[in-house]
Amino acid sequence: MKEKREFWEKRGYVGATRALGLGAGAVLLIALFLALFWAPSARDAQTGAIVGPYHRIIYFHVPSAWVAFLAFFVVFLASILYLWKRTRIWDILALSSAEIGVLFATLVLLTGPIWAKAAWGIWWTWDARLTTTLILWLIYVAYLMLRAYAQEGSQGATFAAVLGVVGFLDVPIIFLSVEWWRTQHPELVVIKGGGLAPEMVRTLMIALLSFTLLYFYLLMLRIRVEGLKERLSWLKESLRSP
Amino acid sequence: MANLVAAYLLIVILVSGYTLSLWRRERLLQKEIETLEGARGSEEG
Repeated sequence: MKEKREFWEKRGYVGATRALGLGAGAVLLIALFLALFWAPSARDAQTGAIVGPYHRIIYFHVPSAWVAFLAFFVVFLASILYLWKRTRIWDILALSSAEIGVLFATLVLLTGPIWAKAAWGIWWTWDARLTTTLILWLIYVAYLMLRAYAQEGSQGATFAAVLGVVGFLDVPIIFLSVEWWRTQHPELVVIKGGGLAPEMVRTLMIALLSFTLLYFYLLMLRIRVEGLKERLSWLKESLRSP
Repeated sequence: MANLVAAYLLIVILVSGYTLSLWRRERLLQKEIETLEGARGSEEG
């Protein structure tokens, strides 16, 4: 059996992952400082009164949603490439990104109701954006369950890739739900400004950058873990049949 | 203030928990690989 070392086992990959992790950590600390101490308090659109500190949840709620969408977009692309090329790396990329996407979608679904309770007085409402986001989360939890229960080398990867492609169709629906239906959820504050002060927009941008770096760090780490799992099974196999 | 703290704490707990689990999985796999590579090397030697 020929020994094969993949890119995730190389020292350069491990070093780049660590450097990215340190960079993400540093930018996250800056974003946290800006969100808590630098960004001004928000004002009520109608009365002009200063609202409570709960509005600062936005600085990590919006980036969580952004990373979840980015992660599911990567799953979508990698799944198409896997179905087309049948190369294992695309399957590993899709699986790794789906896991991180579910983590950040969970954060969206947890921080959203905390914000809603303070702003609207309710934890949850079956509003179009909230419901479609919950559906997205359920789709990718199903994707991970499919990966966990499908046998190695079975059609599990193919079925998951199909789900990864079809499931992504929910993302544009979530994005446009505030335009298509009358919803309780605010509009796209990042694109339309949403009456945010320039310091608030800058803080949000830094928070978006920090979460994007964090996503790529976690993705590289998760790919390496999956790669190491493959190497371990290859080694076990080679010891069984020398 | 309590809702802000709760939201930020949830983010910290989930993200750091996931990162720590990846570090742990990486370390354990690396250790097991080194053990098996050692066994393979002595078998070949």
